Amino acid sequence: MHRSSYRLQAYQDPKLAKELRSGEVSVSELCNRCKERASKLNSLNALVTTTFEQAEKHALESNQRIQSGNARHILDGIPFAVKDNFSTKGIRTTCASKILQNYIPAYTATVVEKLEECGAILMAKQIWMNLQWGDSGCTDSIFGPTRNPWLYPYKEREVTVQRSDTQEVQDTDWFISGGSSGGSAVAVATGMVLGALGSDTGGSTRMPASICGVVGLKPTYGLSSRHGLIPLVNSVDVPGVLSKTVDDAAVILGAMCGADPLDSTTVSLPDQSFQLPDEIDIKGLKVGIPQEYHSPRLEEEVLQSWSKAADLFENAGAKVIPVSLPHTQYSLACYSVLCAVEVASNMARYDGIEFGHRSQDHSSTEALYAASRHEGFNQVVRGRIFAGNFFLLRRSVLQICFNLMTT
Amino acid sequence: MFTSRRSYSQDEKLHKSIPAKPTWHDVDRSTLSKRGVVDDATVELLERLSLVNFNNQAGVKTLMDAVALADTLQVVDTTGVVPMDSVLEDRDLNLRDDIITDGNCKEDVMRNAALTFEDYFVAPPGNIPLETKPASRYRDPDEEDQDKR
Repeated sequence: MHRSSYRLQAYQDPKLAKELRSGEVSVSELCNRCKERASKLNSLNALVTTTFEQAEKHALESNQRIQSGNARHILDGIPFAVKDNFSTKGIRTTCASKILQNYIPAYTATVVEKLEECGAILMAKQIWMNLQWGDSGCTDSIFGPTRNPWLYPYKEREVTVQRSDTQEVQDTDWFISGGSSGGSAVAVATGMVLGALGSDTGGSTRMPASICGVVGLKPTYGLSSRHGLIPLVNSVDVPGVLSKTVDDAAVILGAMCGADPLDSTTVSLPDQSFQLPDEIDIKGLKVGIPQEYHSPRLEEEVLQSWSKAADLFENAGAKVIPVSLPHTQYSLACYSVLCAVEVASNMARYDGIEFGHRSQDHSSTEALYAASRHEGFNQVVRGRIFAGNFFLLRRSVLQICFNLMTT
Repeated sequence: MFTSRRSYSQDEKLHKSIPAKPTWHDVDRSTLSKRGVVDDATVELLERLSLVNFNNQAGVKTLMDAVALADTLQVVDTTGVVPMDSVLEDRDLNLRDDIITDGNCKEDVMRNAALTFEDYFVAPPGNIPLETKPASRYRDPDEEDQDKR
């Protein structure tokens, strides 16, 4: 096997960047390896739209820059992918939903633009759950479910995986990738790309990252621009980062964050390099353990892992203390209402007139809207719209919503 | 991941800061006033407002479950707490100067419309209210699931 493909198994962007700089691996070679990997792993169903032709062209340009010593950024030449709810100019952006099946944006999301300006190479748009709301398994998209690469029998049998009881996993017996950024997590976990953007509202980057065994980061709200990110819940949505290592996540975050005049909820920070030191010293760092995080159905293994993490921090010199977040147990109920409300409002734009799926029922404007939305949305999305509109009823607003804003 | 999974023993001592038992309070649902009422009139109203159909009884039940979950928030005392209306709390939002920086994008704007006519978006006649069907149809076990029609 070629040396460069071995390095795809275990890399760090800075190390790989060094190899690109020294010419050991060319950008085109790297992108080709990723493309081959993606084609071989088609059965995992992680990608919606690939942009390999465009990527090839950008790879050549990137290589030229690197060879002449003009690399734009440490990410120059690094293949990445984005979830299919980030608008990309001229490239289909579907949200894995029938309602936007043929939608082609006329502009690119700010965070994607920023990564491309650094020289990173966009390889594909990734599958996620239908409009970001369904079960947390990433099984709800119109393109079918995304499969977890772990314990999945690859068609070409490069890797043979067997369960501990020696029963071979059958093709119909696959595991979820987690959602909603399942495709992004799978692509990073399998080396189809070396970093990916997801989005995170209520765990949509962190959950699939955890289930697929990669790093998932939800940056603080306001750090990265949401311009071009098709909105679900404007007060909680954040572009998320998926990568193999924490160092890579820091590099990608540093490249994509920053105030954006097109997103007034972004915040400027004085120092946005996000460089992690080589030696990390946490002596004296205070780490709080919220007591209310022990919820009623917490699994024993999770409890033990939690305790193990506390031990690790303490052994490394941090001060680990119990703290209280007294309203934790109400957070899910709170979230469910606020999200339903914003989802109902955000889904109102899908009427079939200016963009998106348009039904054939032309008897009246309302009939067209209703038919287009019925055909375009799945049961779960519709359920959230109803709940949201219920909470937005005049009689509910004072009783429920106002109460929530103070919880 | 799977090959290196540790099997945790239940006797392993927890870190002293980790609570050994769940810490949540029970919410006695019988003390909650039934604020969220989902009756037939509400179902019909919601279908008109949402411009989508529930499709079946399960759809109505999903709504009722969501409302029941929201009702549990009644136990939280929010007297005197100022509502949060922005996640950025006390920061000001950045506002742009009122200068035109965009425009001449007619083709871009029209490109994704399924139906246009001479640079216009096309909509059927308005002012015709949507024909609503009675909510009681969701209680009829013989009523077809509208998704399957």
